[in-house]
Amino acid sequence: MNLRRVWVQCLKELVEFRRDRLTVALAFVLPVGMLLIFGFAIRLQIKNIPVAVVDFDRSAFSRDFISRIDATQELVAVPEPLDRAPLAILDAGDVRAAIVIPPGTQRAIAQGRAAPIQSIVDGTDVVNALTIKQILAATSAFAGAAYAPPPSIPGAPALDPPSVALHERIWFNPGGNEALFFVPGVYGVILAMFPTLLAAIAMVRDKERGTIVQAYASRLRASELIAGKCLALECVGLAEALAIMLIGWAVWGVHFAGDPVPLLIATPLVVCCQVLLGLLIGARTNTVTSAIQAAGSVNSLVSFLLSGFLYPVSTMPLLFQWISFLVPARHYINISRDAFVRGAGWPGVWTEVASLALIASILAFGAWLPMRRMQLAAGA
Amino acid sequence: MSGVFSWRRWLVLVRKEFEQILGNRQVLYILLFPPIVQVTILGYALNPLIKHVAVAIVDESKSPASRDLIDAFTANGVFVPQAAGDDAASAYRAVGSGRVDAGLVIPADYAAAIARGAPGNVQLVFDGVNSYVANLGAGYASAIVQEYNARGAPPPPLSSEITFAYNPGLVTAWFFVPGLLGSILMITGLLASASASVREKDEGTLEQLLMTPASSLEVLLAKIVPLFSLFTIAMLASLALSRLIFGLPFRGDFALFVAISSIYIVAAISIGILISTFVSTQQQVVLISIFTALPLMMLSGAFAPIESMPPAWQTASLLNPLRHYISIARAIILKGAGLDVIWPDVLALAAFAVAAIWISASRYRSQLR
Repeated sequence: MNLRRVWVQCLKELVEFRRDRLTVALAFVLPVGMLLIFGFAIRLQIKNIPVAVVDFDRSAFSRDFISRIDATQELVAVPEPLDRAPLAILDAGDVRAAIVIPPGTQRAIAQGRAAPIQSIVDGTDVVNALTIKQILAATSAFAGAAYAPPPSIPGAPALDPPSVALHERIWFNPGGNEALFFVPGVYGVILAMFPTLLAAIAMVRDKERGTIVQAYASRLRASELIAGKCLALECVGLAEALAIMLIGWAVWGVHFAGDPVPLLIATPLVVCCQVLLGLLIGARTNTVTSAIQAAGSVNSLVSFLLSGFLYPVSTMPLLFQWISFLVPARHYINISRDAFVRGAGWPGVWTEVASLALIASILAFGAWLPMRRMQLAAGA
Repeated sequence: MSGVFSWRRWLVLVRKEFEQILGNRQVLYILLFPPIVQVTILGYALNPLIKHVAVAIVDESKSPASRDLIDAFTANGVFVPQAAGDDAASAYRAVGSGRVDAGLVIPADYAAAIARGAPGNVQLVFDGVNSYVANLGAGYASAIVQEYNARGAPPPPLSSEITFAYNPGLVTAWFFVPGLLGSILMITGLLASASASVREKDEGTLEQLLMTPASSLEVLLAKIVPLFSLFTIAMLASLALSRLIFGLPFRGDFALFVAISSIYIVAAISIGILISTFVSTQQQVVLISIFTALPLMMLSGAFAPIESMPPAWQTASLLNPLRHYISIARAIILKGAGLDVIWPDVLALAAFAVAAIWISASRYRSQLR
């Protein structure tokens, strides 16, 4: 490989990129805009879910029960007139559960008789449904105990079961600040998305316009062409990384929690992986439309949904856990979360950095393969 | 603009657009298969319920009571015990290094405390780096301990009886398929139409098209038809596959759903065309399309509930056609709802489609500088 030819190819790409002012602006404005939207708007933690309460009892107990539901912050009790059937309330679609407190509940509890509170929960959103179930069970146990007969009355539990006091603590992010979860993750998603797109288009546009023939006709080798393009887009990707990380720091105060070296090595690596993936897609497809679909929709959805950005990788079926091993964003998100939140450094993430290096070399080979002859494909 | 809409001229344009799309096999495959495959694969792979939470368990008590608690803690398989040392510090180190998701420490005096009738204190530390796992896990752990403490006692008088409506088996794929269907139709529809329209500009064929007597509306509607047919096929195929694989029910009116989906697909395609009238190169159109589609996807309720978003964003999400489509799709497919419930969402979708086409048509001629 001739380094001077690589360098010249890189400069040519950068000149081409710079000439299109709007693209340059978009390449930086869009990642930042995305970071802001994700950092501010997306919340997985369940909050303010409306649940309808049909209160037939109208007692001190039922009022207490309702205020306990409201106190959870996860649920908001919406009073409902008595004449609607619970399922009809759910069907209307404004609430996620309908809770019925039957008449005489307070009296039944005070006398130690069984008093079930019946609820229909919308099972569409599974996490929502299970959380509502958990909250209702805990609220019933709590509110019921307060109105139950004193233990001296016959029928009360005779022996004390072993009681466990669980002290739960959440480390590194004790306030459960979701920005601290999403922002380091979205760095990975952004770096998976934009460099790939730019690279795929840069490659396929040369082919579509026919200007690739000039490269084929020159003394340039395939490895030099790829290395040159890769180097140029690497610079763009790293500049994007710097921009979003500075903004993450300025807006949410996301800063290095420990040793920054793994992240400083992983960032160029992940950009390299994604650029090579883009070049590979560009080399394999013949039209911009196909390249965009592959690099745009498939790559972004995979980096988004199979990378552990939202739900942890461990919840996926085993086959997909293996597949996700090939998704650079998965490794990078782990490294980024460690660097910005946990701060454990090398011992925790060296495997992830090594995986990125491995993926980069596989992709480099994959991009070189279809280009190696530097000739138009037969029939193209 | 030649005011009158000519059907004959329009059909000729439709034929030209079809030939353009069908002429390229690669484009055809890439527009048709990824949406179908993605809905089923992602519907199968995505799981919001945490499982296999790795826990370093350190039992300093080493007593029957502590082993009993550990059994109860790991019984349902959510918490998976990992090798850990003998002292509390080793569990905390494992959490601190990120090797495990949580650490459970049962102190040496646990059994003695239980024997005295005092509560046995147990420490559970979560790695909060993944706050999603930490929050759900903390909830699970509390529920397990609550149940453990209630063991042996007579049932409390007040009980909570819960029925799950619409999705009694709590199948996660039933939740994801409508959301994925909408998301993928949006992202592919938008990208495909935007990039195809810009290409025409790039190659200069747009000028030729505008020189013909055809009106902007005719040209635009002709562009929509082939993509529309492809995505309708993709939509129907994804639904059929989801039914086969996940047993997804279809409880509502099928014709109604297809009709509303058509409005939605037209809206997605026209938003793409609208974007293309503002830009001039492929790079720009792709960047803007992806930038439009992904937030639309995330702020639609497909994955995270809308109620959890900050209030201002909830209001803003009313401007998101995907939000309306997903709520319609869930209502018709899972709940069997009819127009009487979903009409506001349908109205909103139709408004988007009409507005996007109308603005594109009025900009269409002026986009060539």
